[in-house]
Amino acid sequence: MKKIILIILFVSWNFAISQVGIGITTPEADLHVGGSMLTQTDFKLENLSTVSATEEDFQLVTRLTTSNPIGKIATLDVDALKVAPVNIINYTFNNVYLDNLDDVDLQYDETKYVVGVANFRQVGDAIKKVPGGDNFSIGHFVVRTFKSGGTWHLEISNKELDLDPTDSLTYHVTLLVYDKKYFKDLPTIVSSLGGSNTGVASSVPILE
Amino acid sequence: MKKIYIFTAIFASIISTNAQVGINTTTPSSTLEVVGDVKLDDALYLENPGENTNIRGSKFLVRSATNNLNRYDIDISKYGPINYAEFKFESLSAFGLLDYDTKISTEDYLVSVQGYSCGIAGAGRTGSIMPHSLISNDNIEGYQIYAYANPITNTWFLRAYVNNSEWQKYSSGTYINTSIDMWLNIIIYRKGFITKAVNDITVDMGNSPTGVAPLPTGF
Repeated sequence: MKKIILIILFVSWNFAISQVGIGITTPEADLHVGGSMLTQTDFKLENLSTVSATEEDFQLVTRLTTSNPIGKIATLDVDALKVAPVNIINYTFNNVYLDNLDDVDLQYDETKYVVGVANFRQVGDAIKKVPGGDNFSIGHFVVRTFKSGGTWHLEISNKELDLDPTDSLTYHVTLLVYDKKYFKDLPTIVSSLGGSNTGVASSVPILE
Repeated sequence: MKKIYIFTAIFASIISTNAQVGINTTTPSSTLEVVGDVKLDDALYLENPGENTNIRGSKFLVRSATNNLNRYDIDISKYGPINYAEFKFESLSAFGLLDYDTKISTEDYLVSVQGYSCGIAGAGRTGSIMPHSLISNDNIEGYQIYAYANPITNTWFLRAYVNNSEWQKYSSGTYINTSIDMWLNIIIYRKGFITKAVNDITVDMGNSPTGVAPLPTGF
């Protein structure tokens, strides 16, 4: 009760257009607070308009858990942040041993990030096929990110065959670094297909 | 008249047992209910707004360029935070896709290729094809399937080809060049919304199969 009465003391009235100002004598909305506002429990917005079909450059609104008081509403300004929810980084690997990037520690903390790989490019000399009986093996090529020792790592190589030591190549990839605050890292889904080449997932992630 | 109406409204609220205040309403349903718009000159704090544990039935909130708080509706908005498009290229040359202007702005978007497939032109994804090196039959040539920012047009370009190679199909006991259809799975991230570009990193592996890449600042 006391709080309410205090507020009323500071309320100013614009009688002509029925607007209320708090801490301001010339309200520009039905309620205009010339300062900040704190809501202790629910905050409901019944008729909030949506972004229009032509609108651009709006920013995501977030609620801070580190502000004082807690719960400050702030826009997400990714250009001001060192780490955004999604971070896109082009990598070049020079002076590669044959064709083998067996294990490159990318140093992204696996408890904070999920790291994916896109835009793969192999530039330079070709690996040679290896004769085996009537056929030639082309080996098999792997491009993947994986978790090891608490960080994300990268592997790129032909697992069976090697580049001739007199040849050279360069790899280019784009890493997609997703922050786990926004992107959920789901457990591995293991399905044994029992020798078949079709199957159904053994479990479905609960995403509803 | 307005004066009496509002004053009565507020006064009625104060003397009521649950101490609710209404602006432009005589029957507030919350501690404060404003029928109309609200403007805040400074910060808004929500101490205990409750948790959202369900990804359905909710919308992101965004602040517009004119400082309005809006609902973000991906079905109405011209772009999502992350957008997907399949690009289908019909009747490509046997050399694959050497350069293609997507016309997508490099200022507003970040584009990457996150999947691809190809087959004989007109045959769907069926039909056996293989890349054939022009340098040597023994070569297993590398793939380059990627998007890059063209600094002259300021748009994203796509490339998808096998080094020094032509796509071939088996026909009447021999392999011959074939035109192909190709599908690229393109992810288009809107800049400045939830995604940002971080500076390029070059790693000198020092002729070793293992190594450590430098971590960008802040990670």
